[in-house]
Amino acid sequence: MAIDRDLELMLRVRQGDAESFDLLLNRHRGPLVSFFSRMVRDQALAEDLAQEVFLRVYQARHRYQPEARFTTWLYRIATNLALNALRDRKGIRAAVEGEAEASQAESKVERLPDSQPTAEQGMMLTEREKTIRQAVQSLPENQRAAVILHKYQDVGYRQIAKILGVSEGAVKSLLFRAHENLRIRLEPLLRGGQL
Amino acid sequence: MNCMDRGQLFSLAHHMLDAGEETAARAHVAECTRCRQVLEEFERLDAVLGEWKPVEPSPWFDVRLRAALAVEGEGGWRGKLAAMQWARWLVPAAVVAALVFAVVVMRQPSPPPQPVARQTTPRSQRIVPAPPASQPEAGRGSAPATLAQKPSAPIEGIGAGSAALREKDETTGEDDLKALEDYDMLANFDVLSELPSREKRVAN
Repeated sequence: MAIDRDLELMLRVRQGDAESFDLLLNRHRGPLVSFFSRMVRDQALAEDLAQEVFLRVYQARHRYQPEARFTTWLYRIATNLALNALRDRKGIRAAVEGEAEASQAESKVERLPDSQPTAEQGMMLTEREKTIRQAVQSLPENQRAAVILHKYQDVGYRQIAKILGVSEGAVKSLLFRAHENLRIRLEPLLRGGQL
Repeated sequence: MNCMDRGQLFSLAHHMLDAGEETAARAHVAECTRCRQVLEEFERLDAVLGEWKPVEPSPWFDVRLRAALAVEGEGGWRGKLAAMQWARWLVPAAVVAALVFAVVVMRQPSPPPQPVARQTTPRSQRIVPAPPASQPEAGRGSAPATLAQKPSAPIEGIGAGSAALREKDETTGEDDLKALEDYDMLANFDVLSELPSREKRVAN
Protein backbone atom coordinates (compact mmCIF):
# COMPACT_ATOMS: atom_id res chain seq x y z
CA MET A 1 0.00 0.00 0.00
CA ALA A 2 1.45 3.31 -1.08
CA ILE A 3 1.62 5.85 1.70
CA ASP A 4 0.15 9.18 0.63
CA ARG A 5 2.12 12.37 1.12
CA ASP A 6 -0.08 13.69 3.94
CA LEU A 7 0.18 10.47 5.86
CA GLU A 8 3.94 10.47 5.48
CA LEU A 9 4.10 14.02 6.80
CA MET A 10 1.81 13.19 9.70
CA LEU A 11 4.00 10.25 10.68
CA ARG A 12 6.94 12.65 10.79
CA VAL A 13 4.92 15.08 12.89
CA ARG A 14 4.25 12.20 15.27
CA GLN A 15 8.00 11.80 15.64
CA GLY A 16 8.34 15.48 16.53
CA ASP A 17 9.17 17.01 13.15
CA ALA A 18 7.78 20.56 13.31
CA GLU A 19 8.68 21.25 9.68
CA SER A 20 6.34 18.51 8.52
CA PHE A 21 3.55 20.12 10.49
CA ASP A 22 4.21 23.36 8.61
CA LEU A 23 3.99 21.48 5.33
CA LEU A 24 0.67 19.94 6.36
CA LEU A 25 -0.53 23.39 7.33
CA ASN A 26 0.45 24.78 3.93
CA ARG A 27 -1.32 21.97 2.10
CA HIS A 28 -4.59 22.11 4.03
CA ARG A 29 -4.96 25.64 5.40
CA GLY A 30 -6.80 26.99 2.35
CA PRO A 31 -9.06 23.99 1.71
CA LEU A 32 -10.04 23.82 5.38
CA VAL A 33 -10.89 27.51 5.63
CA SER A 34 -12.94 27.19 2.43
CA PHE A 35 -14.69 24.11 3.76
CA PHE A 36 -15.69 25.88 6.97
CA SER A 37 -16.69 29.12 5.26
CA ARG A 38 -19.04 27.11 3.05
CA MET A 39 -20.36 25.11 5.97
CA VAL A 40 -20.90 27.87 8.53
CA ARG A 41 -21.07 31.01 6.32
CA ASP A 42 -19.25 33.22 8.82
CA GLN A 43 -15.64 33.86 7.75
CA ALA A 44 -14.32 34.60 11.24
CA LEU A 45 -15.91 31.47 12.66
CA ALA A 46 -14.59 29.49 9.68
CA GLU A 47 -11.03 30.54 10.50
CA ASP A 48 -11.48 29.75 14.19
CA LEU A 49 -12.73 26.29 13.34
CA ALA A 50 -9.91 25.65 10.87
CA GLN A 51 -7.44 26.62 13.57
CA GLU A 52 -9.15 24.29 15.98
CA VAL A 53 -8.67 21.43 13.50
CA PHE A 54 -4.93 22.09 13.27
CA LEU A 55 -4.69 22.36 17.04
CA ARG A 56 -6.41 19.02 17.44
CA VAL A 57 -4.20 17.41 14.84
CA TYR A 58 -1.15 18.71 16.68
CA GLN A 59 -2.42 17.64 20.08
CA ALA A 60 -3.29 14.16 18.79
CA ARG A 61 0.00 13.66 16.93
CA HIS A 62 1.33 11.11 19.43
CA ARG A 63 -1.86 9.06 19.24
CA TYR A 64 -2.15 9.21 15.46
CA GLN A 65 -2.56 5.83 13.80
CA PRO A 66 -2.36 5.66 10.00
CA GLU A 67 -5.50 3.57 9.63
CA ALA A 68 -7.13 5.61 6.88
CA ARG A 69 -6.17 8.44 4.57
CA PHE A 70 -5.00 11.53 6.38
CA THR A 71 -7.68 13.68 4.74
CA THR A 72 -10.38 11.31 5.97
CA TRP A 73 -9.20 11.90 9.53
CA LEU A 74 -8.75 15.63 8.93
CA TYR A 75 -12.21 16.13 7.44
CA ARG A 76 -13.81 13.94 10.03
CA ILE A 77 -12.53 16.33 12.70
CA ALA A 78 -13.54 19.30 10.54
CA THR A 79 -17.03 18.01 9.78
CA ASN A 80 -17.75 17.25 13.42
CA LEU A 81 -16.62 20.72 14.41
CA ALA A 82 -18.70 22.34 11.67
CA LEU A 83 -21.84 20.39 12.54
CA ASN A 84 -21.41 21.19 16.24
CA ALA A 85 -20.92 24.88 15.42
CA LEU A 86 -24.06 24.87 13.28
CA ARG A 87 -26.07 23.23 16.05
CA ASP A 88 -24.71 25.66 18.64
CA ARG A 89 -25.53 28.62 16.43
CA LYS A 90 -28.98 27.25 15.76
CA GLY A 91 -29.54 27.01 19.50
CA ILE A 92 -28.31 30.56 20.05
CA ARG A 93 -30.43 31.87 17.18
CA ALA A 94 -33.51 30.07 18.51
CA ALA A 95 -32.88 31.53 21.96
CA VAL A 96 -32.45 35.04 20.52
CA GLU A 97 -35.57 34.70 18.40
CA GLY A 98 -37.55 33.38 21.36
CA GLU A 99 -36.34 36.27 23.46
CA ALA A 100 -37.26 38.74 20.72
CA GLU A 101 -40.74 37.30 20.42
CA ALA A 102 -41.27 37.46 24.16
CA SER A 103 -39.96 40.98 24.23
CA GLN A 104 -42.26 42.04 21.40
CA ALA A 105 -45.25 40.51 23.07
CA GLU A 106 -44.56 42.30 26.30
CA SER A 107 -43.64 45.81 25.29
CA LYS A 108 -43.85 46.02 21.51
CA VAL A 109 -40.21 46.99 21.31
CA GLU A 110 -38.54 47.13 17.94
CA ARG A 111 -37.38 43.92 16.29
CA LEU A 112 -33.87 42.65 16.84
CA PRO A 113 -31.69 43.38 13.84
CA ASP A 114 -31.41 40.52 11.38
CA SER A 115 -28.14 38.62 11.71
CA GLN A 116 -27.87 38.30 7.93
CA PRO A 117 -25.45 41.21 7.34
CA THR A 118 -22.79 39.71 9.64
CA ALA A 119 -22.65 36.68 7.34
CA GLU A 120 -21.23 38.84 4.61
CA GLN A 121 -18.13 39.66 6.60
CA GLY A 122 -14.98 39.04 4.68
CA MET A 123 -16.70 37.61 1.63
CA MET A 124 -16.76 39.39 -1.65
CA LEU A 125 -19.42 37.46 -3.47
CA THR A 126 -21.14 38.10 -6.73
CA GLU A 127 -24.92 37.89 -6.86
CA ARG A 128 -24.67 34.48 -8.50
CA GLU A 129 -22.31 33.25 -5.81
CA LYS A 130 -24.68 34.54 -3.13
CA THR A 131 -27.53 32.62 -4.72
CA ILE A 132 -25.45 29.45 -4.86
CA ARG A 133 -24.27 29.92 -1.29
CA GLN A 134 -27.80 30.42 -0.04
CA ALA A 135 -28.97 27.34 -1.93
CA VAL A 136 -26.19 25.14 -0.54
CA GLN A 137 -26.52 26.51 2.96
CA SER A 138 -30.25 25.93 2.99
CA LEU A 139 -29.64 22.18 2.62
CA PRO A 140 -29.99 19.90 5.64
CA GLU A 141 -26.65 19.59 7.49
CA ASN A 142 -25.69 16.10 6.25
CA GLN A 143 -26.61 16.91 2.64
CA ARG A 144 -24.66 20.15 2.87
CA ALA A 145 -21.61 18.40 4.28
CA ALA A 146 -21.78 15.72 1.60
CA VAL A 147 -22.10 18.25 -1.23
CA ILE A 148 -19.28 20.44 0.05
CA LEU A 149 -16.94 17.51 0.64
CA HIS A 150 -17.74 16.00 -2.75
CA LYS A 151 -17.96 19.08 -4.94
CA TYR A 152 -15.55 21.53 -3.33
CA GLN A 153 -13.08 19.44 -1.34
CA ASP A 154 -12.78 16.68 -3.91
CA VAL A 155 -13.27 13.93 -1.34
CA GLY A 156 -14.29 10.51 -2.67
CA TYR A 157 -17.55 8.73 -1.83
CA ARG A 158 -15.87 6.12 0.32
CA GLN A 159 -14.06 8.79 2.29
CA ILE A 160 -17.24 10.83 2.72
CA ALA A 161 -18.94 7.69 4.03
CA LYS A 162 -16.19 7.32 6.65
CA ILE A 163 -16.28 10.99 7.53
CA LEU A 164 -20.05 11.07 8.01
CA GLY A 165 -20.19 7.61 9.53
CA VAL A 166 -22.67 6.26 6.97
CA SER A 167 -22.54 3.72 4.14
CA GLU A 168 -21.29 4.56 0.68
CA GLY A 169 -24.79 3.99 -0.67
CA ALA A 170 -26.16 6.44 1.86
CA VAL A 171 -23.65 9.04 0.67
CA LYS A 172 -24.79 8.62 -2.95
CA SER A 173 -28.38 8.91 -1.83
CA LEU A 174 -27.58 12.04 0.23
CA LEU A 175 -25.86 13.60 -2.76
CA PHE A 176 -28.70 12.78 -5.13
CA ARG A 177 -31.31 14.32 -2.80
CA ALA A 178 -29.09 17.34 -2.25
CA HIS A 179 -28.74 17.88 -6.01
CA GLU A 180 -32.47 17.54 -6.51
CA ASN A 181 -33.00 20.26 -3.89
CA LEU A 182 -30.32 22.44 -5.44
CA ARG A 183 -31.79 22.01 -8.92
CA ILE A 184 -35.05 23.49 -7.71
CA ARG A 185 -33.40 26.34 -5.79
CA LEU A 186 -31.00 27.23 -8.57
CA GLU A 187 -33.45 26.95 -11.41
CA PRO A 188 -33.01 30.58 -12.55
CA LEU A 189 -29.28 30.04 -12.91
CA LEU A 190 -29.75 26.72 -14.66
CA ARG A 191 -32.03 28.33 -17.23
CA GLY A 192 -29.12 30.58 -18.07
CA GLY A 193 -30.74 33.73 -16.73
CA GLN A 194 -28.86 36.55 -15.08
CA LEU A 195 -29.79 37.57 -11.55
CA MET B 1 -32.21 -0.19 -22.95
CA ASN B 2 -35.18 1.53 -21.29
CA CYS B 3 -35.06 5.14 -20.10
CA MET B 4 -33.08 5.69 -16.96
CA ASP B 5 -34.48 7.22 -13.80
CA ARG B 6 -33.08 10.46 -12.40
CA GLY B 7 -31.06 8.61 -9.77
CA GLN B 8 -29.27 6.54 -12.41
CA LEU B 9 -28.63 9.62 -14.53
CA PHE B 10 -27.24 11.42 -11.49
CA SER B 11 -24.95 8.44 -10.87
CA LEU B 12 -23.87 8.59 -14.49
CA ALA B 13 -23.14 12.32 -14.26
CA HIS B 14 -21.03 11.78 -11.14
CA HIS B 15 -19.23 8.63 -12.27
CA MET B 16 -20.78 6.44 -9.64
CA LEU B 17 -21.52 3.56 -12.02
CA ASP B 18 -19.31 0.58 -12.80
CA ALA B 19 -17.40 0.69 -16.06
CA GLY B 20 -19.83 -1.69 -17.79
CA GLU B 21 -22.91 0.14 -16.53
CA GLU B 22 -21.49 3.47 -17.58
CA THR B 23 -20.78 2.28 -21.13
CA ALA B 24 -24.33 1.01 -21.54
CA ALA B 25 -25.80 4.17 -20.00
CA ARG B 26 -23.75 6.42 -22.29
CA ALA B 27 -24.90 4.48 -25.33
CA HIS B 28 -28.53 4.94 -24.25
CA VAL B 29 -28.17 8.64 -23.48
CA ALA B 30 -26.65 9.20 -26.94
CA GLU B 31 -29.91 7.98 -28.46
CA CYS B 32 -32.48 9.20 -25.89
CA THR B 33 -33.27 12.93 -25.93
CA ARG B 34 -35.15 12.89 -22.62
CA CYS B 35 -32.36 11.12 -20.72
CA ARG B 36 -29.77 13.36 -22.38
CA GLN B 37 -31.63 16.47 -21.24
CA VAL B 38 -31.72 15.24 -17.64
CA LEU B 39 -28.05 14.34 -17.76
CA GLU B 40 -27.18 17.79 -19.16
CA GLU B 41 -29.23 19.38 -16.42
CA PHE B 42 -27.14 17.61 -13.78
CA GLU B 43 -23.95 18.61 -15.57
CA ARG B 44 -25.13 22.23 -15.75
CA LEU B 45 -25.96 22.20 -12.06
CA ASP B 46 -22.46 20.94 -11.37
CA ALA B 47 -20.99 23.77 -13.43
CA VAL B 48 -23.12 26.38 -11.62
CA LEU B 49 -22.04 25.05 -8.23
CA GLY B 50 -18.46 25.44 -9.41
CA GLU B 51 -18.94 29.20 -9.66
CA TRP B 52 -18.81 29.47 -5.87
CA LYS B 53 -15.15 30.28 -5.43
CA PRO B 54 -13.12 29.26 -2.40
CA VAL B 55 -12.31 31.79 0.30
CA GLU B 56 -8.69 32.59 1.06
CA PRO B 57 -7.50 32.42 4.66
CA SER B 58 -6.72 35.75 6.26
CA PRO B 59 -3.02 36.76 6.38
CA TRP B 60 -2.91 36.44 10.16
CA PHE B 61 -4.17 32.87 10.16
CA ASP B 62 -0.73 31.35 10.74
CA VAL B 63 0.21 33.91 13.38
CA ARG B 64 -2.89 33.14 15.39
CA LEU B 65 -2.42 29.42 14.97
CA ARG B 66 1.20 29.56 16.12
CA ALA B 67 0.19 31.57 19.16
CA ALA B 68 -2.43 28.95 19.99
CA LEU B 69 0.08 26.16 19.42
CA ALA B 70 2.57 27.87 21.70
CA VAL B 71 -0.01 27.87 24.48
CA GLU B 72 -1.31 24.38 23.82
CA GLY B 73 1.91 22.85 22.58
CA GLU B 74 4.88 21.32 24.30
CA GLY B 75 5.02 23.94 27.03
CA GLY B 76 1.42 23.48 28.08
CA TRP B 77 0.43 20.90 30.64
CA ARG B 78 -2.17 19.50 28.29
CA GLY B 79 0.47 18.93 25.66
CA LYS B 80 2.71 17.19 28.12
CA LEU B 81 -0.14 15.05 29.34
CA ALA B 82 -1.04 14.15 25.79
CA ALA B 83 2.55 13.15 25.17
CA MET B 84 2.47 10.77 28.11
CA GLN B 85 0.55 7.70 27.06
CA TRP B 86 0.17 6.49 30.62
CA ALA B 87 -1.25 9.82 31.74
CA ARG B 88 -4.65 8.98 30.32
CA TRP B 89 -5.00 6.50 33.23
CA LEU B 90 -4.04 9.08 35.81
CA VAL B 91 -7.46 10.52 36.49
CA PRO B 92 -9.35 7.19 36.55
CA ALA B 93 -6.67 5.74 38.85
CA ALA B 94 -6.97 8.71 41.20
CA VAL B 95 -10.76 8.33 41.32
CA VAL B 96 -10.49 4.60 42.07
CA ALA B 97 -7.91 5.23 44.79
CA ALA B 98 -10.14 7.85 46.38
CA LEU B 99 -13.11 5.47 46.33
CA VAL B 100 -11.08 2.63 47.90
CA PHE B 101 -9.83 4.98 50.60
CA ALA B 102 -13.36 6.17 51.31
CA VAL B 103 -14.65 2.56 51.59
CA VAL B 104 -11.80 1.58 53.93
CA VAL B 105 -12.42 4.58 56.16
CA MET B 106 -16.17 3.98 56.29
CA ARG B 107 -15.75 0.26 57.11
CA GLN B 108 -13.50 0.85 60.10
CA PRO B 109 -15.38 0.13 63.40
CA SER B 110 -16.00 3.30 65.30
CA PRO B 111 -14.35 3.35 68.78
CA PRO B 112 -16.67 2.85 71.80
CA PRO B 113 -17.85 6.10 73.30
CA GLN B 114 -15.36 7.39 75.84
CA PRO B 115 -16.49 9.03 79.03
CA VAL B 116 -15.84 12.70 78.91
CA ALA B 117 -12.56 13.07 80.69
CA ARG B 118 -12.34 16.23 82.66
CA GLN B 119 -9.00 17.75 83.03
CA THR B 120 -7.91 17.30 86.56
CA THR B 121 -4.61 18.01 88.01
CA PRO B 122 -3.14 15.41 90.32
CA ARG B 123 -3.47 16.57 93.82
CA SER B 124 0.23 16.25 94.41
CA GLN B 125 0.86 18.77 91.59
CA ARG B 126 -1.69 21.35 92.73
CA ILE B 127 -0.25 24.66 93.62
CA VAL B 128 -0.99 25.57 97.09
CA PRO B 129 -0.04 29.10 97.98
CA ALA B 130 2.81 28.81 100.34
CA PRO B 131 3.01 31.24 103.20
CA PRO B 132 5.63 33.95 102.84
CA ALA B 133 8.87 33.02 104.51
CA SER B 134 8.86 36.19 106.53
CA GLN B 135 5.38 35.59 107.91
CA PRO B 136 5.25 34.11 111.31
CA GLU B 137 3.71 30.66 111.50
CA ALA B 138 2.20 31.35 114.85
CA GLY B 139 -1.37 32.52 114.91
CA ARG B 140 -2.25 30.86 111.64
CA GLY B 141 -3.05 27.71 113.38
CA SER B 142 -2.97 24.58 111.31
CA ALA B 143 -4.52 26.04 108.14
CA PRO B 144 -1.67 25.25 105.67
CA ALA B 145 -1.28 21.87 107.19
CA THR B 146 -4.99 21.30 106.76
CA LEU B 147 -4.82 22.26 103.08
CA ALA B 148 -1.91 19.96 102.51
CA GLN B 149 -3.56 17.07 104.24
CA LYS B 150 -7.15 17.47 103.16
CA PRO B 151 -6.77 16.40 99.50
CA SER B 152 -5.64 12.92 100.32
CA ALA B 153 -8.34 12.30 102.80
CA PRO B 154 -11.34 11.55 100.52
CA ILE B 155 -9.29 9.45 98.11
CA GLU B 156 -7.88 7.46 100.91
CA GLY B 157 -11.39 6.98 102.16
CA ILE B 158 -12.63 5.72 98.78
CA GLY B 159 -9.62 3.84 97.61
CA ALA B 160 -8.24 2.63 100.90
CA GLY B 161 -5.11 4.71 100.35
CA SER B 162 -3.65 2.71 97.43
CA ALA B 163 -1.85 4.59 94.67
CA ALA B 164 -3.48 2.43 91.96
CA LEU B 165 -6.95 3.34 93.09
CA ARG B 166 -5.99 6.98 93.30
CA GLU B 167 -4.91 6.78 89.65
CA LYS B 168 -8.19 5.13 88.69
CA ASP B 169 -10.20 7.74 90.51
CA GLU B 170 -8.77 10.52 88.41
CA THR B 171 -9.34 8.94 85.00
CA THR B 172 -12.53 6.93 85.14
CA GLY B 173 -15.54 7.39 87.38
CA GLU B 174 -17.62 10.49 86.77
CA ASP B 175 -18.96 10.41 90.32
CA ASP B 176 -15.50 10.24 91.77
CA LEU B 177 -14.43 13.18 89.69
CA LYS B 178 -17.40 15.09 90.98
CA ALA B 179 -16.36 14.24 94.48
CA LEU B 180 -12.90 15.50 93.71
CA GLU B 181 -14.26 18.65 92.23
CA ASP B 182 -16.44 19.21 95.24
CA TYR B 183 -13.46 18.76 97.41
CA ASP B 184 -11.48 21.18 95.28
CA MET B 185 -14.16 23.77 95.73
CA LEU B 186 -14.05 23.26 99.42
CA ALA B 187 -10.27 23.41 99.43
CA ASN B 188 -10.26 26.62 97.41
CA PHE B 189 -12.90 28.06 99.63
CA ASP B 190 -10.72 27.31 102.61
CA VAL B 191 -7.81 29.07 100.96
CA LEU B 192 -9.86 32.10 100.07
CA SER B 193 -11.39 32.27 103.48
CA GLU B 194 -7.95 32.20 104.94
CA LEU B 195 -6.56 35.01 102.80
CA PRO B 196 -8.20 38.03 104.44
CA SER B 197 -7.06 37.03 107.85
CA ARG B 198 -3.56 36.55 106.46
CA GLU B 199 -3.63 40.00 104.85
CA LYS B 200 -4.84 41.47 108.02
CA ARG B 201 -1.95 39.90 109.82
CA VAL B 202 0.49 41.32 107.26
CA ALA B 203 -1.05 44.75 107.71
CA ASN B 204 -0.71 44.39 111.42
